[in-house]
Amino acid sequence: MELVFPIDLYSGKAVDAAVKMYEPYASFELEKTDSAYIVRLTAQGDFTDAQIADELANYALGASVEGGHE
Amino acid sequence: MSEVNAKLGDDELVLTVDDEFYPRDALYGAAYIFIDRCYVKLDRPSDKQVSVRLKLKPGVKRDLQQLAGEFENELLGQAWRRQITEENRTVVEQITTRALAGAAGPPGLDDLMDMDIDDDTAFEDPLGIAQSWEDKYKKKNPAEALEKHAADGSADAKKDSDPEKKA
Repeated sequence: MELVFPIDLYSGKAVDAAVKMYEPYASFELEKTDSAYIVRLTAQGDFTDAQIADELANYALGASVEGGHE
Repeated sequence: MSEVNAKLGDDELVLTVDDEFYPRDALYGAAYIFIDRCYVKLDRPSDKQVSVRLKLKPGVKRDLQQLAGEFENELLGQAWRRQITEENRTVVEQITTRALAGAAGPPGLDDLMDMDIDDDTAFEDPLGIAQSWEDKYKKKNPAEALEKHAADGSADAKKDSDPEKKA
């Protein structure tokens, strides 16, 4: 599953922190383009891709808001 | 054309917000409020628009139409709070500065040396601190009290001159 985080809406640090948080539950591939941070994930264990993606997106949003968007 | 458009799905809705109408902080604030009950994802369908996907978390039962309304209300509230903060920023900063300056304690030697104290101002006592309690609260001569209160324009003048009417 692929998640696209627009660069002007999400903080890069927040996305990295979110990926790190959910590393135990999925494998990740990260890419940065001119306009977005792209996170490709494959869930492991008992969780689905969608579940991990949803939780990760929430975490990234919270971290972007709390940490101040760069 | 509405600046917030909602598209409802089975368990999620997507709101598209016009960037020009709502400041980014208001959007963040509103989206953040919903992450306890929804999975929230922001996206950019176009240069001037931001889409907000709200997907209900498992176990959360909510009417999506109502959810859209709540989000729009929250967005408006956040934008309004931000505007108030901006308008009052200068006043708040001034008050905070004064409060912190007051909390810093009495003036130090350097501050005292910088003060303009001369023979004319040295013995002024605007707060009556040097005045004894007796002098400050002594029972006034009725005539003096009446004159004073007449000058102040207060109707309480007669209380001071008549002990029986004092509270």
